[in-house]
Amino acid sequence: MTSGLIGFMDVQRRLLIQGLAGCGVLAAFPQLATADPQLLLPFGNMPAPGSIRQVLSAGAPADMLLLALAPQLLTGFSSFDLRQGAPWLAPSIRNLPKLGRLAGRASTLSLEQLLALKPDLIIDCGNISDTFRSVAQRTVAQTGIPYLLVSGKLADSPAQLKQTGAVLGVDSQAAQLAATAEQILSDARTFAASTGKNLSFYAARGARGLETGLTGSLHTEAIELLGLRNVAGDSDRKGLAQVSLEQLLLWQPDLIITQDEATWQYIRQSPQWQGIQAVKQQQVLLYRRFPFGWLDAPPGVNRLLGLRRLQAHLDSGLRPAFKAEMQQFFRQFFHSTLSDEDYQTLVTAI
Amino acid sequence: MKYFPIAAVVGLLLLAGMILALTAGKYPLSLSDISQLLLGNQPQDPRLSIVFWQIRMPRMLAALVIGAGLAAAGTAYQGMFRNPLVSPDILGVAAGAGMGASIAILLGLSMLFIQGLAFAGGLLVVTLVCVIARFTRRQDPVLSLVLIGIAIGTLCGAMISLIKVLADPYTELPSITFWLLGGLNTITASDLQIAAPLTLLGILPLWLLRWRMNLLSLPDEEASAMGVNVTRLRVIFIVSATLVTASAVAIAGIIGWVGLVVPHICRIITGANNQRLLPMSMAVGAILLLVTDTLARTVSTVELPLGIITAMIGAPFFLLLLMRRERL
Repeated sequence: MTSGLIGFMDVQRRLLIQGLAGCGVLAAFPQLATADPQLLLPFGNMPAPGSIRQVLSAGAPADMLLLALAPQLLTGFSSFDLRQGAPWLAPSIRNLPKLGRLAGRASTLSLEQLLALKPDLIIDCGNISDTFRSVAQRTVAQTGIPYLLVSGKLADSPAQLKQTGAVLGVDSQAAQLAATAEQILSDARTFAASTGKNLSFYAARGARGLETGLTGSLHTEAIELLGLRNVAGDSDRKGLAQVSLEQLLLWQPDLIITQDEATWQYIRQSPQWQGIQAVKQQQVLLYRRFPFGWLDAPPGVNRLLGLRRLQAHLDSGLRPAFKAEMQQFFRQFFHSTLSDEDYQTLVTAI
Repeated sequence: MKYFPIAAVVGLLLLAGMILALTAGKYPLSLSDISQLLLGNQPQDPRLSIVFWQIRMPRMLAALVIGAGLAAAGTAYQGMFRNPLVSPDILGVAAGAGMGASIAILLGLSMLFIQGLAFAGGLLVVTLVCVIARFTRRQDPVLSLVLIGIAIGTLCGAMISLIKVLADPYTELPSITFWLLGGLNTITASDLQIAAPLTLLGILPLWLLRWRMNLLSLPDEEASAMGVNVTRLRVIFIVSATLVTASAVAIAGIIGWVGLVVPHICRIITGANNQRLLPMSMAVGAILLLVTDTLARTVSTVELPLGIITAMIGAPFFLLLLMRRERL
């Protein structure tokens, strides 16, 4: 699936919803069309909270959610092989195997393997569109293993953590994580209302930095929560797109953010990019993956840390406390102790 | 149709296409800005010169060279394989390049490596096709080339699919998808300095030997009786067309339809004589790519993938031609 196609399909679906609603209420309040009253969608017979021994994660965002909530229940990661690199994570987490993901046709974990693993529950986190609901339904029908879909919006993190925690029977751990998430999000909202809304950013991806996430896409959701305006906005599309440098020269973002070292190097040394003020003023941030992305890739609860880091970068009041906060985040969400040295390694750009 | 008046019109259209590509764009450049820049004057705002000399000019030249190159390669192949349904990637050059680029993106390499592996992948696949073809002596040489090309191309397609499954769906996969859709938005002057000479080097033999291209459309025995070394000529054309396509694909990704449709359009104007068909195809191919790329970068704030636009314009046009003419 290309993101472009997904973008087009989004448009189609939204047009359909708006059309069905007689273009009235929903067109006036577009958030109603996307508002989701329910974060958790269970399929099959959910096991009792205390009886769960093993949970299988269906994709990268669920890896993050389950790692934070209940690493003891995790059979393995769907998308991460941490045996090389990532020395700052605890050995018990580093040694979790990579099992593959469940995503319908794009699955890399076969149903037979899934049955052999015998999990009590499968959890997927992220988009809960009909596509993913049908994947869940099919998996339940074929394997009999209950399946839980969790809506992965970053702004809903506290509720996501609490409600999933209740299903897994880890309420006290979930309450702690939700409190941290709530703190980070409410600080971000405060910042968004004051300073954030005056800043614009561009999220650079791809070998030459000319691929980007459009406004409202999950790739830029975290940065937009801080109130920053995404220069790459396209009213009728979400997802990823390519842009031309000419357009970027016109946009002149205040800040360029990338998670990819090759992109960062290229932007800094390319003569064409020198026409952009942010490059001249060294406002190109590199948030290298550790191996989880800070702001995207995967779009899970890991983004809370990136959100905090970016806010600390923009707001000098938060800066002195950031190291302690990050070390606390590592304890809470990754169950690992982050040494001062490792902290330096992770947050220094090159 | 009279050739020369039409050739003059096409020439003017080509010039118009170049002017359009240089004047149209997101960044506002007035005609007086452009004329000042062309005269070599430094503008007050250094951005104007970056936009014109480092973004728009390389992009215009890339569209020109790639459009002409793909059309030339398509013309040569359609003549050589005696089949109007043949495109420049019939021997798997685009699939091989796609595989090379996908591997580079999967490994997180820089653009230079992505382009290098794409170029190498394209050359490698065609070499492989030709080597295998040498072992199929019992078959018709042209047919066996096509069949082997399809087989190896399919194999590369399967490899690309495998790489897509292995790629990170949040980072590498979108980049691979964008690359395979083709586009000129990342092209820089330094890309062009390498790719343009290679493309022109491939076009040159096609241009010089375009009269002999006609002989290849005869049965092999007849061409040999006229004193033509058919095998050698075929090898020269394959090497040249591959060089053109591989260097184009390496910097622009996979741009379909230009090499397939343009020779058709031009055959209506010039007839099948490659003496006139090849130059005409090159000009029309360049015009097509100049116009579609200008559309791709001006229609919306984000880029539209060029491969999609050329297919959307190319395919209906092609069907129209098929319906209108009794014989191609």
